[in-house]
Amino acid sequence: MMEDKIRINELCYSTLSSDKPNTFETYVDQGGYSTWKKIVSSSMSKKEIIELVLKSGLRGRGGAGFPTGRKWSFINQDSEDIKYLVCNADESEPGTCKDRDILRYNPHALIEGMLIASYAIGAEVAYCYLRGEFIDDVYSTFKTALYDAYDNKLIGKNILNSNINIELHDLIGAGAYIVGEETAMLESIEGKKGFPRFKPPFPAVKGLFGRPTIINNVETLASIPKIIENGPEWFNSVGTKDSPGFKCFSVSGHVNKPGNYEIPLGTPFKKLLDLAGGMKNGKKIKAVIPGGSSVPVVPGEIMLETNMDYESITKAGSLLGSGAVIIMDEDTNMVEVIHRIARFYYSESCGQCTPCREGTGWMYKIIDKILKGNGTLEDLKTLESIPNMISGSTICALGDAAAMPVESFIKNYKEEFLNYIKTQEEVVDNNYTNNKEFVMQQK
Amino acid sequence: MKIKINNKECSFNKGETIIQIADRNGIHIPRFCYHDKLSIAANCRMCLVEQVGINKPQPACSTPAMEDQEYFTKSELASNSQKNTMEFLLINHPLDCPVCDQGGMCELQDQALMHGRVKSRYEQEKRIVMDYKIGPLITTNMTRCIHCTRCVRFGEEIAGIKEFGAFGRGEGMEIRTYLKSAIDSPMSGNMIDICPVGALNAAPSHMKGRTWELEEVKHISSHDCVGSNMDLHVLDNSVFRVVPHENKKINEVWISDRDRFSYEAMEHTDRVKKPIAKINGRHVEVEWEQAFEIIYEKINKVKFNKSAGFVSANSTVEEQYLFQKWLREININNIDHRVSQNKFEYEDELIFPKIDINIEEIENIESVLLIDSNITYEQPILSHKIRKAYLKNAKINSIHSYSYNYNFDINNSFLVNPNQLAETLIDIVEYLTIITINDKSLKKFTIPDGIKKKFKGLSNKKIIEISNDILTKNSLIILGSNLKNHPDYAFFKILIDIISTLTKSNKAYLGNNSNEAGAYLTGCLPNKTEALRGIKNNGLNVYDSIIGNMECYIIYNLELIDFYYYSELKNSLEQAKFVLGFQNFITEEEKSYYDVILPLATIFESPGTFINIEGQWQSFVQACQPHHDSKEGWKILTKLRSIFGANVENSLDYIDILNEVDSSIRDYKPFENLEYKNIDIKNNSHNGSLIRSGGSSNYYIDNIVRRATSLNNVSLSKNSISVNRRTLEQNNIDMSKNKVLVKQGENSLLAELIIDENVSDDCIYIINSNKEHYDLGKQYEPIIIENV
Repeated sequence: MMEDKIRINELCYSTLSSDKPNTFETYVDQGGYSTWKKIVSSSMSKKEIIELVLKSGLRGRGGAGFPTGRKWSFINQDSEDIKYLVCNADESEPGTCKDRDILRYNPHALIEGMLIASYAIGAEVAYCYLRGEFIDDVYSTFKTALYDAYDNKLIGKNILNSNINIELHDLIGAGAYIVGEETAMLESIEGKKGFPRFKPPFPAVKGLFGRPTIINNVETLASIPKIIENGPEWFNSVGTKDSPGFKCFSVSGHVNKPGNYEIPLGTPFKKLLDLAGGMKNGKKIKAVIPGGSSVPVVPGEIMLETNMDYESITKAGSLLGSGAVIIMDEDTNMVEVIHRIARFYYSESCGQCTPCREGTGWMYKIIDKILKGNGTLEDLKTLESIPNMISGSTICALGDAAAMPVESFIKNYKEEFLNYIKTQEEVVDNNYTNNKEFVMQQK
Repeated sequence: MKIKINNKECSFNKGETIIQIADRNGIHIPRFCYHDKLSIAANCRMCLVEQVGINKPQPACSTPAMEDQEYFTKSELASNSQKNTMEFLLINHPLDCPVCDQGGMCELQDQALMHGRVKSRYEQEKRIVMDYKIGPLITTNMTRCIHCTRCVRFGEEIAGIKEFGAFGRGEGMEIRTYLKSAIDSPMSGNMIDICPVGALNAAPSHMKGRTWELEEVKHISSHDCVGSNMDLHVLDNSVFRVVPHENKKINEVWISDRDRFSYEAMEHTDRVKKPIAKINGRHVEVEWEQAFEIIYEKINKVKFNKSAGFVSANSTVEEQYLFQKWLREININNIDHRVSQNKFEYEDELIFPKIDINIEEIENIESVLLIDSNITYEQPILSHKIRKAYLKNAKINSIHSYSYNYNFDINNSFLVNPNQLAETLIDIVEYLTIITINDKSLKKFTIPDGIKKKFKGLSNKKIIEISNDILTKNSLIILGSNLKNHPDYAFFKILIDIISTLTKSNKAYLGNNSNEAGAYLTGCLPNKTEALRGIKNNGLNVYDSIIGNMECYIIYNLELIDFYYYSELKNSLEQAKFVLGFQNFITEEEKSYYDVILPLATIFESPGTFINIEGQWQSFVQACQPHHDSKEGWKILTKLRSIFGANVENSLDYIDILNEVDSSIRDYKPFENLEYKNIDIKNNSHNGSLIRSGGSSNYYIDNIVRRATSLNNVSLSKNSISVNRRTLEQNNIDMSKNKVLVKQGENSLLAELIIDENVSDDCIYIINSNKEHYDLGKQYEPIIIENV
């Protein structure tokens, strides 16, 4: 059992302790918007805010883990130019659902975070771009929260009778994974097709409508109010030196209690697994995808020795990514898993640049052939070579995202592929008929 | 600033990309999506190169060069990346090179040879894409498409009409038109050239020949006054295909569809194959010698002062020179080429189509005023230059009798009835006179009293805005070519000259013909000879010659409908004793007016020179031998000169002719200012009735394009007239019916009615695109509209 209690849900999920977590009143009762009011009234300088965020060591929670304070400092906050803030709420990475719960249960933290960030970078217009599939419930919750904030004069013209003007717009996508890529999102906001832009120029120089733009993840922005309220020391007192603070993990797969858990970075994976109720049916852990479907898979035994922070997971051969932890037990058929993942990237590639457009389909088709028992050793050799051909040569990271899982699945579970080829039978004697049906339905 | 590419030191300017620097230094980097005239897409990933210190390959097309960096285009990282991209590009490409028109000139084929694998590792099913018909000029085979999006960017950036787009995503992405409609841009054919694969191919030459069988001959376009450079691809002594030839000063790397596809006319059934003579009332084919005998005999019988010769402004300088020389040698002085002109006032003062600046400078102009010019369709290359200026924030204003479609946005547009065009220009002159009253440089400049008399007080707000744009900016005023039919054309020229003097702006008088400047310079005029020298015995102009019932008419490369006084000409020809034609083509109907028709080689079968609107001489060689029994114009005319007794050397060669023309007129400085102080201003417009306007269809302007089948399949509505609602109401036309009757004099035409608010009031807008339109009557003449 756990030796000491883990601090859980203290930052982005703090309102979960209340009955009505997403209301304006709950948020204000918990001290919400006090930071924003303080900034507006005491005219806390932009530099100070950026300094605080820099000090806290907060890293972007969208997947890349770039220090947020540094990102903000790329923009000249004092220039007269029009600048924009964009909140990336297009959470589509398979396995990830942390932002959805922030939008659903703590939307005001995000709104306050966006206001503070807009103020800090000198933007007067901010957009929150929500994933298309959020339209049924999350979107309306967020919209209600946005209206409440407007009604309370926290957003808009002359906020709280100051001379600060910030407009906050919400937008909803049309369901393309690629729009989660920040420059594709900018294109989409501009009303164009979601094609990522080549860089340079980077968005901080030439972003939305050609203006300097900062794009942050929902969790990143929702963390800002409390970091400023409680001070950076409060935040970086937990976590490790290079990965300070709390992070939301979306745990899914063969565990008893799948769900979102906000825990300090650096927590051992074992403890996260315990929080999630341990393995289902007492099975042995086989593999973990620790950061969303686009990161390399890590064998279970290595994962059990790993802590959940950026550096440790990198050492284990994968990436922390968006914090979507997909846990698979001993009965999992790894060829089927990669078949499903490869199909996802095949259908979500935007088609703009060659390696990804052509490569994702090629990989999927070979895996499909192997899974159907028609594969040859030559096919496996070809499949092994494709990820290397794609990664690093595309405009955006989708190419790498599609390549990394394939590469790691073959590296770690090559014998399963070989068994399909040699015996043309499934090597794992599993009872995953349900899972198979699920895959069939998706097709 | 300096970088090293493959250890070679290269200097560069800030902001330049690796591929630009490499291209300038002759270092090859493979590419598909990059095109130096288009924006950067960086999507093909073929140009990946190694930047020392970065472990990921960098796209050379979108990576700005960094001071003191080193790049390698053939290192292991670079060539592996290129090889990988090539493999990806080929997995879904059908590799059907043996049946692909692009084979042999395909960028994909070439680069696959250099960077591809010997054998494909891809064994799965290939993508197949449905093809849509996009019109008669371009065939599509989108399965071959590699999604470089050059055609999409061409539409957005160059043509200014967004026609192609990328639909769907991932492997299912397709390039196609949005509305499954045909491509409309008059420059659409360029998409064929920029397509790096065989996805877009020229329809008229589709599947008719292979690239390696073709011979390339440089040529000059013959359908507008720009003189685009192009390459003719010749197969079996016939033009097979036309592609642009880069000329940075004129057409860059583009040509209009009209220049690209007009060659189809060469094989038209209307071609005159052998000399034709009317013997005993019947037209029969005769040998050249016999034809010459008849000509000699007949011409010697007619009175020279009762004879007239008309030459096409599309003919070459050499032909025009020899034509007038021959006629003047036999004392025929009634020579003219201005067959589409309506009135001939101020003949001494008005010189040919011209432009005050070079074509390449148009893109730096800050403001353009278009005067009734449908420039996007009439002069696609000039329109492209204006579009470039527009993209650099130039203000484009337009005064017109029809709201034409342009491939740029109009700042201020002013729709007037053609009868009020002159008034509108006078308004501008009036406003400018007041504004520039203190300009000392204009002290010596006086406005003719005739114009001053027409000043009538305060101007319209739009007119003031337009005038201010010309005055305050570096401007260009463009007079549309269709206005030549307008009775006030000369007056417009004077008004524009005044406006440009007052505002110190540039002006351009456009022409529809490829060599109008040549026709002036060679002296194909009744009152001027070579190099525009005056002559003792002035001849009659085309109008006077036609109504003067000559005994003999000599018509060189002109169809009867090319004449503004078409019906009058037909009458005169019927009564004439002898009518001689030099023709590429003849219709059965027109044949009856001629006594002798000599088969003339087309411009593709003859060497020659054109002088464009800038005054630029451009010579071209013979692309193929004359078809059938036709002969080059210079040979026929030289022979005739010798038959009629001129002292012509037997061994005379084309080059000798060119040298002779050159020495006699080349040094002439044509672009002098007009002198019009003493001109008595007449206003020729017909007032108080409905007026016909419209001009010729883009693809019906000369005898060649009229017979280019594919081009003529582009424009769909053939027999329609456009009128605005107000005019229809005033004339009690039943708008529920789709047919109306229009009448000019005794002629009438039943036509489809289009209610079109782009037409000005009291105007019936007809685009001449078939003979019936000419049979109906003249442009800018009164017209009546009635219910059927």
